[in-house]
Amino acid sequence: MIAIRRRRRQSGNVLIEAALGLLILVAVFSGTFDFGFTFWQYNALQTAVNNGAHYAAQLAWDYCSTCTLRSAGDMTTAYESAVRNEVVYGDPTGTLTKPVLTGLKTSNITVTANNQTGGLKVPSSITVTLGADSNGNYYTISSLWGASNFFWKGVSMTLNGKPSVTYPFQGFVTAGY
Amino acid sequence: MTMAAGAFSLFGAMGVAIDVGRLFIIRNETQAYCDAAALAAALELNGTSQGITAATSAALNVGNKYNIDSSALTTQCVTSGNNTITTNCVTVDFAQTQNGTYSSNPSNASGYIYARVQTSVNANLYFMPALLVKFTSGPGYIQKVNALAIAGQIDLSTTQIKNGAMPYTAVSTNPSQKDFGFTVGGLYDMQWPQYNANRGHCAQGDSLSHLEDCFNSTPCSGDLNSATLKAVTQSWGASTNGYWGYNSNSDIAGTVLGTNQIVPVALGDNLQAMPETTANCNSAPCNVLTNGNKAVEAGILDARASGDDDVVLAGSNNGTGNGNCSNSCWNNVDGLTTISDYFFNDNPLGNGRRTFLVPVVYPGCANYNTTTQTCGSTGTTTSTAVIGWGEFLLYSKGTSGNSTWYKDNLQGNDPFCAIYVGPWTGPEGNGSGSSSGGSGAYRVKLVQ
Repeated sequence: MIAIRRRRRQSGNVLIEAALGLLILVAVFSGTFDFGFTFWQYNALQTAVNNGAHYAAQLAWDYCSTCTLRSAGDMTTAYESAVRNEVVYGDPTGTLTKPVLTGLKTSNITVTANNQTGGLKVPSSITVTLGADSNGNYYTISSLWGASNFFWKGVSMTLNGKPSVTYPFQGFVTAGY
Repeated sequence: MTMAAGAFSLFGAMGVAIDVGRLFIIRNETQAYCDAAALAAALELNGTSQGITAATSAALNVGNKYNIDSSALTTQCVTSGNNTITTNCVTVDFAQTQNGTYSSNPSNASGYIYARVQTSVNANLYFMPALLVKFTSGPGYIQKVNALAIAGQIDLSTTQIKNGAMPYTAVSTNPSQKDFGFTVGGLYDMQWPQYNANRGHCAQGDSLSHLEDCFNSTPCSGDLNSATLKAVTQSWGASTNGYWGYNSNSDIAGTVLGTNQIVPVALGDNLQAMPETTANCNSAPCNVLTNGNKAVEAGILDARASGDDDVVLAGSNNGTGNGNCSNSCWNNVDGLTTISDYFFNDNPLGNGRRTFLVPVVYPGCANYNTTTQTCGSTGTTTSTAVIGWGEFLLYSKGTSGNSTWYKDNLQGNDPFCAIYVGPWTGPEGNGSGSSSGGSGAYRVKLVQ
C-alpha cells in the first residue's frame, strides 16, 4: 500500500531531478566552453600582437624634424598607425577592416620604442602591448555566454598591458633631412 | 559505471578546453620569446668572443614573458655541475651553419653567424591528470612546453640591395679574397681625390709605380697599392671619383642621411650603367657614377656621424690608446684604433649611425661572374662591376650631435676616407659589427 503510493508520486520527482541535473550540466558545460573560448581569444590576440611587434621591428625607422611625430622626440604617427593596423587587421595599410577580434580598436594597441637615443631617436627594440583605447577603456575578452547567462556568470578578462611582445629593432633608418 | 563515464568525458572536455587552451597560449608565448631572442642574438654576432657574450645577454634580456604574460624567462639552462637548471630556462647557442654543430661558447667565434634559442617551461595541468593522460614523462600534472627558434645572418650578396646603401663606393681588385683584400681598420676612399692626367707620367694607360702622384691630393692610405690605383686611373680617369647618385644638394643629403638609395644594386651590376630614375636621365642606362659635390658632402657626412650615439665605457681608450675616457664619453675618436672601442666598449649599444654600407666595386671590370668571382675583362672604361658589400665607419670629432671632422679636415681636393669594418652585416641601427670572413652582405633573419 505504501509502496504503491510512493510509486505514484515518482513522475514529478524525475522531472525535478532532470531539471536540476540539466541545470548543473548546462552550468558546467557553458563554463568549460567559456574558459576554452577565452583562452582561444587570448591566443588570437597574442598571435596578433606578436605579428605586429615583429613587423614593427622590421619597418623602416621613420623620424625627422619635419615629420608628424606622435609626440616630441618620438616615432611618426605614420609608423604608429601602420603597426596598429598590422596588429588589429593584419594589414599595415588599414585596407582590411575586419579586426582579429570583435571590438578591438587600433587605439588599444600601444607601440613603444625602447631606448631611443641619438639625433634620429633610433630605438633598440619595439614593444607592442594591448592597452587602453582613446577613451581610456581596456579591451575585455568576454565569453560567448557572457554575464547574461542565467546559470553561469561568464568568464571575462580585462586586458591591461597584456599581451605584450618585444622585438629587437632591425629595420633601416630612413629619416628625412 | 555511467557516472564514471560521464565524469571521464566531463573532465576530458574541461581538460581540452582549459588545459590545452593554456598550453597553446604558453607555446605561442615561448615561441615569440625564442623568435625575438634569436633575432636579438644574431644581431650581435660579429665573429668575436665579445659578440658571443653580447648575443647571449641580448637573448636573455629580450623581455618577453609567458603564462598569460606573467612569468619572466631570464635564466640560462645549466646542464652540468651541481646547480643544474633544466626547466623554465633558456638555452642560447651558436653555429656556423644552420644545421651545423651548435655551441653555447665556441672557443673560436669566427664564422659563427647563427643563433639558436630554446626554451623549456613547465605548465601546470588541472584537469588532464584526472584522465591519467600524460604527454611526457614526469608528474602527470606538469606538461613541459618547448620552443625553438634559429636566426642567422643570411647572405644577401647575390640578391639586390634595394635600400640602405650610401652613394659611395670602395674600390677593390680582389673580389675573391677575404675582406676584398682590405685591412680591417684601414682607411679607404669613399670619394676619390681628382685624377689629373696632366701630371707627369699620368696619362691614362700608364702603369707607373707612383700613380698616387697623379691625383690632386693623395688618396687614402689603404688604397695606395698599384692594382687599385691602376684600376681607378685607367678606368675612371678624371670624370669619376666614386660617388654615385644624384647631384642636387638636397638629394645628396637625403641619400647620405636617409640612405634613400636611388636604384637597387645587385652583385655583378655595372655601376656605371645603372638605370637612373631622375628626370635628367631620359633613357636607361644612365651614368650614375659622377663626381658628386664635395663641398656639400663633407657637412652631410658630419651630420650623419653626429647622429651616432655610441657612448664609450669609462676607462676605455676612446681612440687615443690612453684609457682616458673618464666618464661615459661619446665615441668621438679620430684615430685608427676605433673599431674595437666603437663596437665593444660602448654601453648601451648605440644606433650605429657612423657605420654605413657601400658597394665594393672593381673599376674596369666588365661581365663580372658572380660564381667564379672573376671579371670577363678588366680595364674597360665603361664598366665598374659591383663585387661585394662593405661596411665602413665614418670619422667623427666633437660631441654627439656635433661632429665636424670632415668639414674641419678636408680641402676641396681631398678624398673622403672611411675606416673598413668588414663585409656588411645586417641592418644599421643596431651598432652591429661585421661577420667574419666572406665578402657578402648579410641580413639578420629567422630561419626556423
